[in-house]
Amino acid sequence: MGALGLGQALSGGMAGRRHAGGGVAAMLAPALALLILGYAAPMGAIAWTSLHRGGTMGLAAYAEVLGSPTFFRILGGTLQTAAVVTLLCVVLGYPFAYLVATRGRRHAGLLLALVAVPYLTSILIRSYAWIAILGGNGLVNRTLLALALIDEPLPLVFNAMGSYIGMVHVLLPMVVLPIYAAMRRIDPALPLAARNLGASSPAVFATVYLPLSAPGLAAGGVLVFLSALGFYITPALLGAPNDYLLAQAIEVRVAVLAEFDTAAAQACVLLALVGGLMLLFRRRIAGLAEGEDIVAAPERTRAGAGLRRRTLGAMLQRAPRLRALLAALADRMGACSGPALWTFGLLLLAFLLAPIVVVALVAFSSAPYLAFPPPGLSLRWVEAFLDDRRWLEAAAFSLAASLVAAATAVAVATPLAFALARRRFRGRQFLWLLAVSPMIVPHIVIGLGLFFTFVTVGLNGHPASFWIAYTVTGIPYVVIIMLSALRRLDVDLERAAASLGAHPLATLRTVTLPLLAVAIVSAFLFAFLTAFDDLVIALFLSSPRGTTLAMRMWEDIRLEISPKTAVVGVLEIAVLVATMLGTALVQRLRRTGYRAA
Amino acid sequence: MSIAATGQPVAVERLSKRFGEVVALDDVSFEVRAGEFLALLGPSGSGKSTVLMSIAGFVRPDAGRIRIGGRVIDDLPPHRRDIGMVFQRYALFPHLSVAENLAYPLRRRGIGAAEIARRVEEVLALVRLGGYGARGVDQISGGQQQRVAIARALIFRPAVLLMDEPMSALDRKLRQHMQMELKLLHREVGATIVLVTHDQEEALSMADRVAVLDEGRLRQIGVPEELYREPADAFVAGFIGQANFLPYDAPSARVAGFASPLGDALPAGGAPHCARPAIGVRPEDVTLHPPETPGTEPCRVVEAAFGGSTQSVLVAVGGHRLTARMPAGSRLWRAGEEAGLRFRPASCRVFDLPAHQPSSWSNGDED
Amino acid sequence: MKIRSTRRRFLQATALAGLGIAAGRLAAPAIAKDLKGSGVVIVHDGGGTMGVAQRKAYSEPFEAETGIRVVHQAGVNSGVQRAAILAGAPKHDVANISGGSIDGFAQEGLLLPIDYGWWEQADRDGYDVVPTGRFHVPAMLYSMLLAYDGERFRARPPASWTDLWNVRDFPGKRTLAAGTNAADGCTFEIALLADGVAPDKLYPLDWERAFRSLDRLRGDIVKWWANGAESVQLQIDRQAALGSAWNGRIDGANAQGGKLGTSWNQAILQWAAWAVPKGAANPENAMKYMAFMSRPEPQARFSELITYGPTNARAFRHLSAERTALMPTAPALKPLQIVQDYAFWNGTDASGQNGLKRAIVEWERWVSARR
Ligand SMILES: Nc1ncnc2c1ncn2[C@@H]1O[C@H](COP(=O)(O)OP(=O)(O)OP(=O)(O)O)[C@@H](O)[C@H]1O
Ligand SMILES: [Mg+2]
Repeated sequence: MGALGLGQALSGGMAGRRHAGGGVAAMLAPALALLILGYAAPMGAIAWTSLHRGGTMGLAAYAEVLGSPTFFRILGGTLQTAAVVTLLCVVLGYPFAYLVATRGRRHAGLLLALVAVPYLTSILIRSYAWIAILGGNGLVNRTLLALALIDEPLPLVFNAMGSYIGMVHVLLPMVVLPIYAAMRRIDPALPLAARNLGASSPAVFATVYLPLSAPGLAAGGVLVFLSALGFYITPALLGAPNDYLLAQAIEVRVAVLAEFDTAAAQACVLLALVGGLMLLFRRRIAGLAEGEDIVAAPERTRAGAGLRRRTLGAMLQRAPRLRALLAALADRMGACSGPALWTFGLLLLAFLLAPIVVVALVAFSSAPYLAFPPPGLSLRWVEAFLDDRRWLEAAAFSLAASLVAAATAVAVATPLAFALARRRFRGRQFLWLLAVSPMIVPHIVIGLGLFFTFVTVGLNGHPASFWIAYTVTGIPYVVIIMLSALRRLDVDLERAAASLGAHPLATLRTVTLPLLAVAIVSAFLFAFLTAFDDLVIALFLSSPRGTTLAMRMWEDIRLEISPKTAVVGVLEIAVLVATMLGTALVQRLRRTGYRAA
Repeated sequence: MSIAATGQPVAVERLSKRFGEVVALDDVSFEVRAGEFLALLGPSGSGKSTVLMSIAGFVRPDAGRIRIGGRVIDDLPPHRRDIGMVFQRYALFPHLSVAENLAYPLRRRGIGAAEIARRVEEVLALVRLGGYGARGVDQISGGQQQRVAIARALIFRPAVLLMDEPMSALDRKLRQHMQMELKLLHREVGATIVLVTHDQEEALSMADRVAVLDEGRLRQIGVPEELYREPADAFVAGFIGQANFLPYDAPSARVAGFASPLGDALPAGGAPHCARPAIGVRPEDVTLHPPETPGTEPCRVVEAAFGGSTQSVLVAVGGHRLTARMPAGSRLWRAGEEAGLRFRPASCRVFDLPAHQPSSWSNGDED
Repeated sequence: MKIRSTRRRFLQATALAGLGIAAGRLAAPAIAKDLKGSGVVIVHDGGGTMGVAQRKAYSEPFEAETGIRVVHQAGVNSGVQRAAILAGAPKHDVANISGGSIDGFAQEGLLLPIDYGWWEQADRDGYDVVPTGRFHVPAMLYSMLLAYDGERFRARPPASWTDLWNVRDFPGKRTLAAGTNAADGCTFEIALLADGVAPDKLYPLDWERAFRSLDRLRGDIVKWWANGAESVQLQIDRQAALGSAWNGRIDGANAQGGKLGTSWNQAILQWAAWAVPKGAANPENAMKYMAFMSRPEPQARFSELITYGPTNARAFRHLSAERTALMPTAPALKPLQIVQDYAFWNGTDASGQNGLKRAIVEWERWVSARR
């Protein structure tokens, strides 16, 4: 089965049932190989570790973990934090996505990019920026004090609020993007039809818009929930003194106590719990084709049939309170006039971008240490960064490793997503879980497992180890984003290409990929940024041949937070802006090229 | 005209396809002659799209084969079948302009830029969209999109053109207009066309021949007059045009409950033997006369509708209801009037009614 | 350009080094230890100013003298280091391990015995505050101090851990190391000292009493700091008015314009050690590097660059008086401090857990109990 088979397998519109078996195998093989080497084997090592104490096999570690009420308290607190963060993200992200999808379509690209910007600054510097804004001496309090609106600084940070702000800030793009994607899929005629059938504007929202965007809502919610489970640096830096999350407990066991068996056992319990939840709700979150291959069934009937199964409606029937809540929300939203929605959207953007402004100012600060507002502006820290050969080398290495890994993740996980979305084969759900679960497991556990694996296979210290590790951490983003994009892709377009004489590979190149371009770019970005921002895995993989920029920053930051790290944040944003401008330019050029043709 | 292609005959032989439990196609065979315009007609879910998708190569049938120009194409992948296809929702590439959409099949065939430009202009002119080439496909109207879709399917001069309800998304006026244009286009390009529709009017007015599908089975294929005059079964009779069905009592050779025998209304040769015999008669073959006219069955007018050139009258007779249609020029009937009813000579056909149908019914309404 | 000339120098150096080894074999060194050699040695890099100091004081002169190339490799936490040694692929030839963890490493047989044959006996004797061990050499001494807002408390500065607990006389938010830092954070020692435990009765730590003491301060803690940078940043940003911080961090902040006051009274003196992990790729070079670092001149140089105390007392001969005054081991400061008892921290108590484990388990219970 060569390229032809792969191409055929990729385009769902082909009849090629005879080729399907081989095609699916070709689509899965690369991703599977990387997942096995870079994830399954390490997790196997972790599971093995969790079952051994002092050289003997047994359940001692599990007995210790499960026998400790503290563990369950921490687990409960972690789940609760993740749930609250998810709820906040949904409540804030949904109207924003609605705004972008309905009223802001013209600026959709820009608005979405702005939402993703917080993702681009190193977690430490971002947290510092929040302290500079929210702290007792921060911007907000100083402004309010100056205006005599308050007598005492408000406690805005170092409490639950601080940690929620910090987490929502980063996680918002993960919920906005899928919801927006789902909303874009809604036929604009449908709300009109509902209107025409006598539904009031809130009712249109509640009966048409909300159920139709529910899959996006679910996907986004799951992404946020899973990511939030693995958070601990942000809550540790911004949260209440007593915030203590499971990822931190695991981290402490690895980093301080070097007690790998209990750390592994805690990670396995978390994975089992979350994996179970995901399998339970996979229908709502996965976007896997249900039952049949996509063939003759016309899109609209399929969509209709799928709708019934997936609607929130069915759930709502069983949860009257939730229904009431949503109806109330719908009332608000439906009634939201354009200006109100825009005001909300701009406030949200201000919230998202404020720390970035702080970071940018700090990067050009003239102060010898981190201070906000900066006493003056200068390029000294930019120069300090550019003069430091070790930092530059690390930056080059990080950039190369992250770029190559992100490209690989897109290259191997896109066919995987195609297979998951369009093919029916055994073990699909398991494969999906395998591909997205690197998001669930705290990175310190992945790092530990990877290290054991790489030493065994002789890859320790090899730059390729970073490539494999970051490909694996990127795969979940690619799979989730591509699955949701594929659900939006009309198979008829690919069939049309074939009927017009396009070879399956040509169809892929000229129709499928261009139509998925936005999804691919965003998947690439998420994969890239996860890799670039990683610190934890790098600690395990580092060697004289491979030291990442995040490690250099961490090295520095352990001792003093200097504006040099802010420079990195600014550079990252510059790279993103350049990428976006480049993409836009290419698109425009191509478009005008067509026009000219 | 250089767009012209030589149409190729298409032969569908004993095609069967199931989707799980659903039998989408059950031993379907028919032939389309070179350059012919065939309409595939049938109710929703009857398997029309499945036939089309099988010809195009997007569905692999469980059994049967398909020939184009005498050659079996079952193992040919879709992109090498050289079949133009117009999709129900057009499937225009949203990331390409109108001209780029049209150029697409030519590019795939490695045709030079100059030739492509020439042919794009030509075909744009053909579908009367000159000057629209640079537009995005979302910047033109529904009717224009449809014309682009047709032009795109024609531009590479396929021997066969398949269309899946291409006009279902258009308003009535535009639809009628496009039907005319499509017919003209067919004459100009000469390709073999298979058009899927569930609109019988569209099928009858456009196609050279019509194939009727129901529940995955081919019921009848023939020229429109043939289907109308000599429907093979009650389904076709009911599906094409309008018909009244009345239970038939074979021993007495009369409609059950009628006082008078059918006489010359039955075609020569009488009725074949069947389990649930019924006579079918078109409304225009039912005439009304003043009450007590000899040779008529007494009836009462339930409803009468004036339709310009014709009047449709619903009458109750012998416990049944049926529709009659007469020129409006004759006497106008009013609800409640008594009348006498007669069938035109040789206008009644005897069918075996399927078990699920009531023994007497009339599909009186339009469409 | 620079890179190329460095490389040429390196090639010359290795050529010379080859000769050196040959010469060394012929005539065993009697007094002046000849550390010449070849190849590389991979050493822990503390990052930031610490890394710079290491390179200037130790690595560059070592390279010049021995011809052995020194590769600085970013430091990792002790968990990663332990995993790496267990897997047979340690991150460094010369590792830096905190005093609180070193015994654990030694007990598990993860370290190579130090080859003191490369050392001058006098230097070894100079390790007076913390003596050298079979598997480790103290690398630097530093102290956990009481730090406070120098301007706010100018009139009456806090002078003890008890004052840190005295919210009435010294108002303001506090910050202490999170308990997850275990020994390194000193929070449990501080809590007991604040509660009035005499320094000589400090160990073994009374966990219950420590947490009772912490209970009293809990509401005034703005944040438990997680790393050294945070400890001073919180004070520079005036999120906290008092807290614990390492002397090096405080000096660093004050050198850049910070105005933190300090008290050395009952400061906790801590240390980190150099060690050679089992499985190290270049053990001999590592031993040589360690021997080089034990010499007084490089140690003095190091302490000139960063305020971490020399571990070899002979180094003070090469340090100026002002500089000496800043060192945790300065004669005037030494008696004020309490040397952290790593034997306690690594020893097993009645519960079968060592001090580190116990601290973290108790801390997790305490911190998660009241949410
Ligand atoms: N991919 C599929 N999976 C399962 N069943 C299918 C699939 N495609 C078609 N069917 C079923 O096969 C039968 C024939 O479908 P087909 O699409 O050919 O009907 P159609 O005549 O085109 O109907 P319509 O006029 O509504 O488009 C239907 O019962 C349909 O539900
Ligand atoms: Mg159809």
